[in-house]
Amino acid sequence: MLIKKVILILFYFSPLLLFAQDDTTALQLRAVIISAVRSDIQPSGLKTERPDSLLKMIHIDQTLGNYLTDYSPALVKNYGPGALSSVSLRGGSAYHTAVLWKGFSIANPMNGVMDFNLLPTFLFDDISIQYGGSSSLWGSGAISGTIQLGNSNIFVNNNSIKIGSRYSTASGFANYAESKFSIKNFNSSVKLFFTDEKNEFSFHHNDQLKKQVHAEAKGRGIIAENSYIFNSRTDLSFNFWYQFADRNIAPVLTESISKAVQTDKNFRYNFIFTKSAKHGKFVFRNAYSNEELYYNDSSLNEPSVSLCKTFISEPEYSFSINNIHSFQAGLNFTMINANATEFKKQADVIRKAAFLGYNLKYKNLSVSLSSRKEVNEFQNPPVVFSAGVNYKITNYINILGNYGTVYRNPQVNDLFWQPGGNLNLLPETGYSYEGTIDLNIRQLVVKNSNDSNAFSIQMTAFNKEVNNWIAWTPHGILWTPSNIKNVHSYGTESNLLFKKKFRKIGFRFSVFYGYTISETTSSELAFDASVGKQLIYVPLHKVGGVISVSYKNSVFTFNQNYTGIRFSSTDNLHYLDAYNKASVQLDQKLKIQNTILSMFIRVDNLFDTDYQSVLNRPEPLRNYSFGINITYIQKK
Amino acid sequence: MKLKITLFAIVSLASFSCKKDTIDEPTPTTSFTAEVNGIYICNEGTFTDGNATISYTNGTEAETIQDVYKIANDEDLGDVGQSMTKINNKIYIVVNNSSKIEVVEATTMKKSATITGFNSPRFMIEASPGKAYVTDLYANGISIVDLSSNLITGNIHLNGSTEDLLLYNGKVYVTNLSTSYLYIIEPTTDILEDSILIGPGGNSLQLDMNNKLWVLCGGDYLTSAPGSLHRIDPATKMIEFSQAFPASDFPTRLIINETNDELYFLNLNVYKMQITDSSLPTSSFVDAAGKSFYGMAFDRVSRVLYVSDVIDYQQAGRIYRYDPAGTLLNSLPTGIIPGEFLFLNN
Repeated sequence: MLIKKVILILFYFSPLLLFAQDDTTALQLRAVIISAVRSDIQPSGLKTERPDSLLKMIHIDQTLGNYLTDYSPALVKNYGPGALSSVSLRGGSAYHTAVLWKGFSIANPMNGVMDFNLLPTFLFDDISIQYGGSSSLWGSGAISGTIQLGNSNIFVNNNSIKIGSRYSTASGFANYAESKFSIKNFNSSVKLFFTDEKNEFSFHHNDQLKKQVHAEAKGRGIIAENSYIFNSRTDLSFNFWYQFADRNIAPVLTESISKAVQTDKNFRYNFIFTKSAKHGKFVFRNAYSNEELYYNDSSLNEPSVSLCKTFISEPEYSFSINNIHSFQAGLNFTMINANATEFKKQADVIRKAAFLGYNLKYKNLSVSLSSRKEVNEFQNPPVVFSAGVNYKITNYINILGNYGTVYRNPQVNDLFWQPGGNLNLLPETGYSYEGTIDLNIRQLVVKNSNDSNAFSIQMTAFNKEVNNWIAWTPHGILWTPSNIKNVHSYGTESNLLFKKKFRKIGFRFSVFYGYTISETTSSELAFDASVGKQLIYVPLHKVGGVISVSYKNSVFTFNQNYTGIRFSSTDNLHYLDAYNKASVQLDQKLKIQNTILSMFIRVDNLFDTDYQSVLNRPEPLRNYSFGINITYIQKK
Repeated sequence: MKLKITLFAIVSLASFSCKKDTIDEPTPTTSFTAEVNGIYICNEGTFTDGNATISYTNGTEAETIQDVYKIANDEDLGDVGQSMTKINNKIYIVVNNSSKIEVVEATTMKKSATITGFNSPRFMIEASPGKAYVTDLYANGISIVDLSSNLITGNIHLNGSTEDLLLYNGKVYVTNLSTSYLYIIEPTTDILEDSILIGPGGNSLQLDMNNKLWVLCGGDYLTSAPGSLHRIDPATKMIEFSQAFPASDFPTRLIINETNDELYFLNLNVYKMQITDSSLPTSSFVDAAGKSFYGMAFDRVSRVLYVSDVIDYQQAGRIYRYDPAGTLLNSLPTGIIPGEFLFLNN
């Protein structure tokens, strides 16, 4: 206990928090970024995080939910290993964080929630967390932030194959394989994973040691991302993602048994055609997804089956007048066909949008403006816009700022679920603004730049408001969604990163701290005691950090994070205790000619903490993981 | 150097937060004894959160105490406190999603036994001396409980979600949320004797001063079948009165006053009608005015109508007390999702 507190104080008392912004170590000869015009013109002024190679390495066998839990101020509601995991940023709901793959939203349009336990970190080389509102670029739902996923289609000198496996005493087996190769103008990255997890972990309940039951989960998936370069100005990216998950839903602590089961099956395809000219670029993006969700338990007369097909088409164009001014324009056409056991008939939703953008880059100043207007037959979202600025005051001080208006359409289930679906729902609307100071302190003390050495601090303050917040509430015995409240969220986020290499020993220390107030400011419900209270499950405080020491091919990593109390009732009379969680990991690499053997051993929940992310959903006590992967590199 | 110190100071100040991560806990109540005219409120709690509680009041804010089961027993009640039934000097608290019934002493709430083995129990009645029936959402039957051993001794098969029960003239009448029938059970043999076709979603029933059964049906929202109210002569099993509600209505909580000649039910608002009325009331007796009315009961001794408000189902609720004219007397705090009432002197 004393050790835990000392370590946490070391983290917490360091008010300088640093955030890793760079540090991709992938070989880059001919980096072809196949993305979108909007990615190129990311709104200036929004804080963006990307995990560095160390963080990706130590999380290769885990999910994106695990990563965000340990290394970001994001609120992660984890219903247990293998179960649902939802993420929200800056005190928003899970619907306010857009999750994008290759720039296309992958959250199910029916319920609007992305299950982060279905996102193995291994599948994505590029993970980018952008905080703040960006509805003007990405449309509905990008209110608190976006999480952008992908593999960067980088043409590399070498072909490679990797296979790996991990066994965890808490969950079970996870196996993965990856192949990357390029032949002339063609580049391909194929990633596979298979999981067979019993999730029979130990936990305490009423002072008794128990084992989790009915929590088995099997999953498999494949992502294939390919690109072909026709010539220096024309390229095509075509990508495919199939994923299947079959899960038993464990009983909550208040239930004696559970018979609930859920199956998720998703197919996602997209292709992106890019044609560049001297002063412009045309990108034609198209995506199709087919998502099935099957759920059954003893309470249902028949299983609940949800089917959703989504088609998206987006032509975009950007052109530059000179090196300073550039403009962007694009259209979006989205068609959703959804059906469920609880729908009276198939639901068809068509949404169309247009966006415009402007960028200015002059010396140390970068400014971006963007705006978007969507139309659909059920709602009338407002025109949204954003303005961002990024100004480099000196070599070591960067200032960012952004203001934007935001919106979120009701989900398909909100409109069509029977009983209760409400076609008269208004979209949620609001605004979001933030400011960031980015200090590269190392520049103050060291003249020579070196990727192994860094010392930087980033501090952000944010403020946002969401009106016409949608929630399902009872009307007699009937539940129906309504625009019932307004929510105001504000706070600060701080990050610090310190890296130093001395001869063969490398040292890395990073800390983050998030302080979030997210309160209901008004409510349509009579005598609603949630007004003025913190939203449920949004912690006021979240802090964590990583210490890593490397020597030659060995890396030792310790990380700890603290999640503050979270209220479980909207009047804040009930809450979940705060908790500390720590882990240690030792990684060892062995290079034999063209083959790299990597092994790791990890202890999660090092201090055997009893904690819950969600009320009455147990989490594993101390547990151990062992993993190995082999990479073969074929040098050309 | 000065710049570095300034930056450090700015960062340090900016990183301190304003709100602490602690909760000021109120001083807990350590003992509890109910008054003769005391009232218990069964608070369901949020489904799967295990926060069902029992509130106690004598009708005044000063004598309203929360979580009396925990005070008396130093343990949580469980998940979804569904209903309470008083038999002799004991109260049987049906805890639906914990699949159990807690047996407590009526005035002290002290636990004396736990009855387990249910699936999703709902309501309980003493069918005959020493024997009780317990309805269930998913068991496709009614459990038979021996009240001396507190054990389930049998089951009466009955498809669907059995709900409310009423004992009259040696028969037990049972409603069913999943079917359109009222069922009749002979408690001496535990045999399902007969059924009467009424309407879908029977949820509550009462006996009036003329010994007629009134059954309220909530309809079927999946098929949009409307709710309905029926009056049945139990001697002939004939339906004497039957009226359907508008298609968008799902009425619940049929109760009756102390003289058994006035009915009340919830349909967003509170409605009242005489047993001699020939049609359903069209105007409300108490308007919800934005509240989420959920539970309702009539104190037959004080003649006060109690109505519960669940607000958003995720916070402490409130109960509202009305006189026979529908005038609000006061309101009192409860636990999360107050649903059922038990009047100790009724």
